[in-house]
Amino acid sequence: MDESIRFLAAALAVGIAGLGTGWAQSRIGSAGAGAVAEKPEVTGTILILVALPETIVILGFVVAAMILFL
Amino acid sequence: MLVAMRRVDIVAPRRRGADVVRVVHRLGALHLAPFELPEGLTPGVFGVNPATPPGTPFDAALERVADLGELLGPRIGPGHLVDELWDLDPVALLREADALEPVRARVAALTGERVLLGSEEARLGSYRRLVEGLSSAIGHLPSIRGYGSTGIVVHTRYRAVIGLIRDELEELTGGRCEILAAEMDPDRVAAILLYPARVAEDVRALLGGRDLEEVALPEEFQGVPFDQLGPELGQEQSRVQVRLATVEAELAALSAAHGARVAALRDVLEDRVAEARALHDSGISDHLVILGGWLPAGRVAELRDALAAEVGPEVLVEERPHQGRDPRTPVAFENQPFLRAFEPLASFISMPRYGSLDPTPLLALTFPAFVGLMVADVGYGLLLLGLLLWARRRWRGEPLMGIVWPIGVLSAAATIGFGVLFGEWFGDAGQQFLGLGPVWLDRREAIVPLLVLAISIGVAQVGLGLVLGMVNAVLLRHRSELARRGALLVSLVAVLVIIGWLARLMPAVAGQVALAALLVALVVLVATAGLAGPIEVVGVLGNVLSYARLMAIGLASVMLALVANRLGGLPENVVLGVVVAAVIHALNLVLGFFDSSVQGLRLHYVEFFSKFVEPGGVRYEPFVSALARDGTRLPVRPSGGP
Repeated sequence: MDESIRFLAAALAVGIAGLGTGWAQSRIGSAGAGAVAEKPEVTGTILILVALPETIVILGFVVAAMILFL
Repeated sequence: MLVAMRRVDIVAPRRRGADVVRVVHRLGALHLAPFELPEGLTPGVFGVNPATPPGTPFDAALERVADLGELLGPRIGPGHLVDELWDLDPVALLREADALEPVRARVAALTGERVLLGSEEARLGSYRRLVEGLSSAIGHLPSIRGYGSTGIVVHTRYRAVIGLIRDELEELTGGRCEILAAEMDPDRVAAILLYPARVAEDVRALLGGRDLEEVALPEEFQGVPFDQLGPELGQEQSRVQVRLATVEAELAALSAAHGARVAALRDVLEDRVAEARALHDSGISDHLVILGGWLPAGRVAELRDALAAEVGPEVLVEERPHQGRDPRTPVAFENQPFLRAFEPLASFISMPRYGSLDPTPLLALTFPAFVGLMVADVGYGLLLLGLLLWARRRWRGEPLMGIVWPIGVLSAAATIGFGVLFGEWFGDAGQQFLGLGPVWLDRREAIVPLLVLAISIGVAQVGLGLVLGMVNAVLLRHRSELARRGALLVSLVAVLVIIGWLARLMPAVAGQVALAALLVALVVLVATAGLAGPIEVVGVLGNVLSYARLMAIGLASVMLALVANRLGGLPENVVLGVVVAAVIHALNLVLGFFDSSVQGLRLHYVEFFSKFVEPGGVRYEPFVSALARDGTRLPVRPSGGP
């Protein structure tokens, strides 16, 4: 039982963080697509901006790793 | 490193102003600065050049030649022609532009005719396709004089609209009309409306409100019997195509005969206009003209010599005292050739400020290493190397390849190196078939050690960033920044020591000292950055944890490679298995390198550069003539370096 709860907790840590990242990236991505349509020279900057929220899921991954392995 | 710059003022007799600008333009080293009134003088005595009008006789000539250049097709003026035209005096240069007027008139006429013929050809083609689409029905129609026709094309899903139009047309003509409809292709239905010619305007109004693709029959075909319409349209279309080809050929001949000269003349006229503007923006008094700007310190003597040789000893080049902290000083990179490819990446978000440190060497060291650490597969590295070799041969000489090639090769080398360490050859294929196991770690198993490694890299890079930030603060004499970055560095180290103490890896004394240091650092942060200061500590810790992506993305990459091998091994047919594995490996290769590059850049821009790069630098853009734009001489680097 304890094992299964640990796995569930780890899955939630990554899963919910992934949802948060996805939501943030969808907002940035749609705004970024508009910006790129008007100014194609900002494509690189927008790519970086889209990658920014991934920290959330990375932190979720770190928490999951701590739950599973520590 | 960033090139050392000098601020100079070139002072010359007013009558030699144009000559000075010309020499400076030819040299192509000076980044022009707006004129600043010398201390103690009033604008009435010394102001922005009032005598030279902003417009020049070259403006109109440039407009005409540029027009002609656009019509003939864009190209770069060849070097020998630019050389020849650059030395002409203004009158001779304008005469050159005037001599091209007959060519311009002919090219404009031909271009206009080409547009008309093109649209005519498209219209005939549309109607011909429509008539051919209805050929079976048209064959049964008698020849009717005094009737007009209009073709329409609708999407198949809207074909019901044809029935509505039939009803309205019958009402309009009292039943003296006909509509023939047939499918042109699976998506489109064509229809021809026949009606008395006198109601043509009413029919046009009826169709106009329905947003239909209307195909009007050319006037000369009105009243032609339908059974003859197809062949006659075909003949007319062929005639238009022949004329179009003749026009194209004449335009190509004119382009071949005059294109190079027009392009060179446009380049030279652009230079003359730029020189006139530079002179207009210079400072001027009754007797003197002053042109100011920045140039690399190593080229001041070259500027002096050029002015002395070509204008004479009456020109002075005054070097201002070193102004290392002037934020308007332009920035140019000067790095070893293999580092130059990284300069555009280093200045991608913002140019570093003059006087601060150049992040390029650090980026060149760690960016490929990060990509290699994340992808870490010998097979993928070799494939990337192969693709780069092919691209280099395919696009030899392209400026973009000069950037992509070194970055790609270093990343591929790092990928192969880490692949050997982790024993990955297309995932576990090397281990399975060749017995090539990991030299250091197996990424599938060593999740925690790799996580520790990734976060340790984060600690090292963020810590280094803060140290470099302190160096930059000293160089730029920002005391509060120095204190803030120092406090953040102390906080980072203190938090790590406290974690070590809590994990019983460090003695209690170290933990207590770290706690005291953290408290002092927080006080300093509040003093230098306000209440947001302590929050920055959390931000720095978040930055460090963010490096976990080095391990997480790497783990995803190796797992996808394993999936490719497993799925490839499932089918009994070997060929099918190889195809399945190859497709998934190809997907992993593209995703792996793309995502690793974006994440690697992001780690540098957000986590690393934010700690020390002083943004807001002005790119060095020297006043360069068309002479320097020729690829064989004085190359101007994309990063703005000399």
